[in-house]
Amino acid sequence: MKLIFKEIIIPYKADRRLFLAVPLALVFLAALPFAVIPFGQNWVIANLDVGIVFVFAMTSLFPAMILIFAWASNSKYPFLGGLRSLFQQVAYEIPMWISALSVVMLAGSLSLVDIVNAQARIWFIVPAFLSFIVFFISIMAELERLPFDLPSAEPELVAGWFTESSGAIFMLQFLALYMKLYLMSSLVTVLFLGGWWGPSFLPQPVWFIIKTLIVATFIIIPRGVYARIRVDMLIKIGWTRLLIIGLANVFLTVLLISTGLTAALGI
Amino acid sequence: MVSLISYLIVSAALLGIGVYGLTVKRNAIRILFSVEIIVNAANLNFAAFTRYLNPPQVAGQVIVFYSIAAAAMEAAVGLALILVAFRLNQSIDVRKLNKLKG
Amino acid sequence: MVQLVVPSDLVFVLLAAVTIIAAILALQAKELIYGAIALGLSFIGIAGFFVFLDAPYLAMLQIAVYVGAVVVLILFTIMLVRREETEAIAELPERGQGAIGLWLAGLLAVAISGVAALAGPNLPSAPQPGELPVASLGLVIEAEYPVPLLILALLISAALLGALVLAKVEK
Repeated sequence: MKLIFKEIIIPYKADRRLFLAVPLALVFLAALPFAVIPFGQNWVIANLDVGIVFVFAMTSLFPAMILIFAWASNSKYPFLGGLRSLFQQVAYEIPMWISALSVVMLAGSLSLVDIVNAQARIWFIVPAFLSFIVFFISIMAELERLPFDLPSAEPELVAGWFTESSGAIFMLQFLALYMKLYLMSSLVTVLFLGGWWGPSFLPQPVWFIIKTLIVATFIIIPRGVYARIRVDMLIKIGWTRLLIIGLANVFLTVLLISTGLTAALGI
Repeated sequence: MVSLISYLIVSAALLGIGVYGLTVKRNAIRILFSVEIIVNAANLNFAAFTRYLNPPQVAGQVIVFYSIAAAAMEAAVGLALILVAFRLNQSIDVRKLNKLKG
Repeated sequence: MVQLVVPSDLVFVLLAAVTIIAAILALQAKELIYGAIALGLSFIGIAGFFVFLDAPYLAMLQIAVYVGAVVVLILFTIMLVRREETEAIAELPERGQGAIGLWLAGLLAVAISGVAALAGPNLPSAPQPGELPVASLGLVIEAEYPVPLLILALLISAALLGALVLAKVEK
């Protein structure tokens, strides 16, 4: 609360309009995909036929926003931090997409509701285990959570790309960050953990929320555990290793589908 | 309901804007903007026709699909070229970039 | 599909206005970076059109590829190419050229619109009935146009390598 009332300091040569507009846009972008995420059988705001592509399209806009914001700060440190953050997020988009591809192939539809429905008998984490791992790691990199948060590493570059933010602006960015966290967690739940399916002594949305919170917890936990990874190593891992593992899972999925194993599993 | 002509007019307008930028601007990057605008105008055209023909031809959407991918690649290569040209000539004014040497 | 609450004509006009004005801004803005942002806005407008035209997959693709990647690349390049003179100062072309450009563009636009209007009676005035499910896109590609897909893949690899080679910094 206090943050709202702190004075908004805008750096001397910074670009006023962008500085104020981008954080707003960020929050908007982070909130929007929630409209397509189903909390329960009929608990979704908009069941787009291309639900998952919508979510990915929105997430691909984050790096662009960050770049604009970093440039608008007009000083070295946030800019460099912004660049590194940009590289990191862009690098991990593709493993994310590919691991989601496996899920889409299993479910046979791009719609998030269909994806959850297809998991009625068995959660996708079982046949698509590799994808789950890849996706999980990619999410942590996208969210800049430890052990991947070099762009915000405190002793290194002051506070990374939001160095110059203060007061309400910082609060907005913080908000966007946490909304992204929950967005990604709920995405994991929808894609891999069966969405809202659960024994019916609890209503469906409650199951969904429980699973999402568990995922979020697992994302936050490594914060105190692992050491940081250097950015260039990080980017390399994203582009090469994770990509290959993701592709391997896609092949595996193709095998599973074509040999009819998935039919046996009831998907 | 919106008629097909409205889409074609919008597409033509975008084409005009793109052509204007292409012929008039000196900044190489703005010329790239113009190219992208033109490609988008064409995409819009294709997409409009796929919906308004009877029966709807999905082939139009396929074309747009390829067009988006191809245009993105072309933008990437074009930008790389601009970078190289800038390094060699210290300028992105296309009037000064007219020597093939170097 | 998304339910529209406002009359569709109004939304169309709004989209058209945004797209066209953003395109003009992209070329005329004094700072290149504002121009790039305007271009992104224009792309989003086009994506809106795609949604209107029952092509939601294309719309998402447009946003993800164009706005998410191309605009980022453009922003990068702009930031790497910064010097005093590359700012869009005095973009005004010589008088003759500007007029020619305007005439050419205007002529093109009017000519095309004229042709379209002449064929007016034959053009359908409403979206034709018939379904365009998203899956049909993939099916059609697989059934009738598999070769271009492979060529596209090769092209992407070639473009990627080319761009990398070109942009390599000689130490």
